[in-house]
Amino acid sequence: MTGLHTRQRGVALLEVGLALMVMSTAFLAMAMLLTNTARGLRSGHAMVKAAALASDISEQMRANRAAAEALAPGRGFVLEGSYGTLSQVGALPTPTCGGRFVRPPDTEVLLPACTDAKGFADFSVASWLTQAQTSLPGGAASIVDLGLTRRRIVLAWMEPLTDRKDGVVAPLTDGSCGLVPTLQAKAASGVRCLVLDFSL
Amino acid sequence: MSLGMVVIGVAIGAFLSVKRTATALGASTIVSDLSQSAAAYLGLQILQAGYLDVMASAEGATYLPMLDGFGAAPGAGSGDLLPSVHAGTHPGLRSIHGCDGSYARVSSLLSYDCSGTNPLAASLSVAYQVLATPNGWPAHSLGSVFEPNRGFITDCGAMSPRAADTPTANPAGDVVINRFYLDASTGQLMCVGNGNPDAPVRLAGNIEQFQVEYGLPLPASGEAEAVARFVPAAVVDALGATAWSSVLSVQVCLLARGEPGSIDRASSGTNLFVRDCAGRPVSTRDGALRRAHRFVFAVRNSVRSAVSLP
Repeated sequence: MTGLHTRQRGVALLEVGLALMVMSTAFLAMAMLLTNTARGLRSGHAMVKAAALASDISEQMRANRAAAEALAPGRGFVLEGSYGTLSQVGALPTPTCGGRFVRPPDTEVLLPACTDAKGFADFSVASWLTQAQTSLPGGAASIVDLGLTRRRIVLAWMEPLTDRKDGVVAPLTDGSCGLVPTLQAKAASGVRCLVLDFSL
Repeated sequence: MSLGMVVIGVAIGAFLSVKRTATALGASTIVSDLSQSAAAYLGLQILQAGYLDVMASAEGATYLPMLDGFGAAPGAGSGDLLPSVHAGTHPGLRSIHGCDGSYARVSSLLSYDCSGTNPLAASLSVAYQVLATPNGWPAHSLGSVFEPNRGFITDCGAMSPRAADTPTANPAGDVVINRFYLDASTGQLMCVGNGNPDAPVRLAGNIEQFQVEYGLPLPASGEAEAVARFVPAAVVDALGATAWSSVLSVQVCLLARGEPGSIDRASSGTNLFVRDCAGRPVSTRDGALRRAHRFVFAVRNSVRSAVSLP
């Protein structure tokens, strides 16, 4: 009788252990699922936002053709560089004209009307880059002159580790972020890019 | 006993984590989708604002000739001001117009009087010509009067502007007039079209701010287009009725709100790094996620664009 009782208690302990193992596995799987879901959703949001930002600046360039058509690199709508150096918002001067401008955490300022096309282009680019930085994780952007009326818009941001391929986040382009064609700057690990080529 | 407590604790923790994550993700998705979908539709409307079928002629741009047997096209008029100034076609019709508040008579779509001043609950009106027939022929009938029994593209409420299809259409004809405004009491972005001006439709909910500003051109920029500044509607109005025809771009800002409880309530009540459409830190006191999204759309049919026609 005593031996049977001892065996029964051992069975109960084994059952508890198995239950713990099963539940732990289930919890772990659920946690991983949640994590991946959150990353995927965040990635999707970033992609949608980047697409909206690319569309936004292309519209601004079309509405300000005087600046979009003729300016040299580094001026107005053309910003070139690699991901590490391009379009860091803090490096850009605050625009002096163009309308409502805010760069968090600073307070908003209401700027006067511009007197030339470049002034408004500076306003557009500064506002756009501020949006890119505040709405995309580690967001940066560039606008490249491809000749004639063709322009390339590049938005880059830090991506949570999804779609890994050889330890590097798979970019949407050929791994170069599609910046300056002759430069072909390599995107850093964990950087995802969106590239939009269009004509004014 | 101890093991059981640990298991129950982990289960409760996992449940709370799932619930919190799901709420946050849901709010983020709602906020993003709301503004993106509303902006996509508004953008499409703004791009079409002032659309009118014109073609080159010896005197300049003019209407398309008769195509579908409904009658000859008007033979006079330069056409170069038609896309945004309809003074020579539909008297009183404006292809794009806005108010820093609401329209005094929202359902009277040819009345552009504004009422009140609230730039964060703005109103926007767009108008454009539509196809005359389901066969796809461009309309050619935009003269000095409406053609009530033509028009084959529906307004924002999916109602035909043609009198034969929709007796409630006002004004009826081959033109669509859509008027957008924010119902601040319900947080809904609404639209009323000339298919049935007395039946507004909801474009999006959970919208707290709807701000519209207009890109005016430089005083003298030659043929090239260049914006000088984004200004509210009152500034454009102050420049005279024809100033609306020179609007080059439109900047729309939407502040979307998630469900309460979607974020932690900040002790300060605001988030300095997230601004609303007026540039103020958004409130977080109710624990609802808020995000402002700005969009710029170039007006394709502005006068500056039209004058380059041969």
